Amino acid sequence: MKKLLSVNNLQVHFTTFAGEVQAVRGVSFDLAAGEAIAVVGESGCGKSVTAQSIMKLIPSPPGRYMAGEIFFNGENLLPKTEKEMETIRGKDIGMIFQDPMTSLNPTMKVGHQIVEMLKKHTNLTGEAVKRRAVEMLALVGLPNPEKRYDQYPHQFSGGMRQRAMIAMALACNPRLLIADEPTTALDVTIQAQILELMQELKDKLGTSIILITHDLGVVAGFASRVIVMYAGKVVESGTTGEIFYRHRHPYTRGLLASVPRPGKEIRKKLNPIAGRPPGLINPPRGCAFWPRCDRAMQVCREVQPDMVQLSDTHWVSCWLTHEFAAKGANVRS
Amino acid sequence: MAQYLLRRVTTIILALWLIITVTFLIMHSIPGGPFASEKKVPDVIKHNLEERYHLNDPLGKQYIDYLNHLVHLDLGPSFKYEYRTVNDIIKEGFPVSATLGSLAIAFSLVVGLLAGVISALRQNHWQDYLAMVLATLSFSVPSFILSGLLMYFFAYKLQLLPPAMWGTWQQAILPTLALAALPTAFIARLMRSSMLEVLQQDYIKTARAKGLSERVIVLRHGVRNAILPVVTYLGFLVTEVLLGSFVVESIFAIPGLGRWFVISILNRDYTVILGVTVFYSAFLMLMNFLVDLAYVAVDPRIKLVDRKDV
Repeated sequence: MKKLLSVNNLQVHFTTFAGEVQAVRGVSFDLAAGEAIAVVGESGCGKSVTAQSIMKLIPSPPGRYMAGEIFFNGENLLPKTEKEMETIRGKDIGMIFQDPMTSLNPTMKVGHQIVEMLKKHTNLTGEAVKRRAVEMLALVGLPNPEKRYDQYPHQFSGGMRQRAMIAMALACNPRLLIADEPTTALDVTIQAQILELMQELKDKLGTSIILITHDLGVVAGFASRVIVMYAGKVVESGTTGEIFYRHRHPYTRGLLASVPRPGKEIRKKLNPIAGRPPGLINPPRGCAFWPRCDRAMQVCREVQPDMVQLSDTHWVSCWLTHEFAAKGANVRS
Repeated sequence: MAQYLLRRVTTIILALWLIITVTFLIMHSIPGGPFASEKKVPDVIKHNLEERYHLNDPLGKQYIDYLNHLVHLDLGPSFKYEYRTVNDIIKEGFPVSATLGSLAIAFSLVVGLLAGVISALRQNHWQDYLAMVLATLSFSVPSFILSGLLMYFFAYKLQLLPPAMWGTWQQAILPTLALAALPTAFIARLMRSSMLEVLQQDYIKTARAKGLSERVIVLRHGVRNAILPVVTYLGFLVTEVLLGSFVVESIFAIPGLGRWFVISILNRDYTVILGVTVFYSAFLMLMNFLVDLAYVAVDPRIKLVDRKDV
């Protein structure tokens, strides 16, 4: 399959009063045309920053792209100017956000919010624009799209607003849709509907999707590949099967164990020691996960592990995969 | 909606009646009267005058008579200026005050909104600091001092503008500035903080992700939402400009209604005090009502419904 997006060694820093926050520390991944991948990790691990970097939406200052390349359709996006990015945003890459309640402009009719974008990126005019917008509202399963077109966001429920956001993001037929935690703010039943809708539209329109989430439960069955991020780095990536059943990184294991299953107390498995992701002003020298890892070794504290390829698709960055690591290195010294 | 309007009008009439009653009582409890003066007026003449203007009637009867005339839109004669009714005074003075007030409101909206938006967009740059220092200054200097300073510098020192009176456009500049300073500063600060908040909102990020240009994002998505608190302030703005006009018109010797009002109080010109009070109260309530209607037009989430309908 042809590569649509290729992120190479992306580094994004933020200048704050406390110091330079290294939010993304060398992230690389590829995305093929028509493919859906998921980026998972805890809050603050750099998922959203990576996603917003692809559209160059990081406010600067305080944000800065320190290094790396983002090839989209064969072109590097990072050196592009704001004006050039405006022709890509919305047209070639669509984005939906976490909270549909606040992501739509409250003083503007939903239909007009789609129309203003169509007018910017397409040659459609007058009635044709409106027809296209109504068509999109119908496509995302909003009943009465004609009427909905003339309504304001506050007349929509949360699930309907997220549908409207999806309609907007896909209105110009973008090649890539970035969904930044699209279901986190929704009820569980609505979550399933929205994911189903995205899946359906992906198959119908052939849009590639990057799904950002901290919930591995929503990943299975949606994405073909999963990228696990921790402290601004990719720690493991592979097909959904590899990540779910043959994962090698202790962090991936912890994330999977933390997907709630009724009747089991598994929370402790994720945080054997009281822990949060490390601060990224002074990231740890070795593996960023070692303070929370129940299998950490001496080397983990001192040297950053390299990415190791385990199969065509499966990569992991963990010293446990090294040939010298004792098979029984289960116990913390 | 119809029920809401009916309710609003009823409230306005009730409020007006309350204002009339209270003003009437307070006015009559101030010592002195329209015919008390330093020059000794013979008691008989004073008595005849008071008789002619029904000032010797019992207070209750005077009150009823006044209300009766008011219903017929007759605000009575002035006690101080012969051949002039209160209606004449309002007819003469109000257009002047309205012109000055409109100028001040227009100035404060244009300059205040502009300064607020620019400060927000250039937050922590010199434009922001300059605007906010100016705003804090004009916020803290009372209008009677500012009026004096403006006269001193622009009329006396630089001799650029006429110091007082009314009639030419040059004469309108200084009083407009003096009157607009406070609301301009308030609007600038209000708009700045509102704009800063709006620019942080998710829908601005959405607008960016849609590929809209910065200009469209700021104007269509930013200002359009950030302006809501300013619309709420409009009713209060009218009140503030009106109150300010009492001071500014007196200082600049502008023959507006505000100046008449101040003079009438000094003169104990009962009918003028009452008349202007009633007129201004009705005017303010009407303005506030219009602002509420305007709010519906600006914010689609707000609907005018009677509480019982919900």
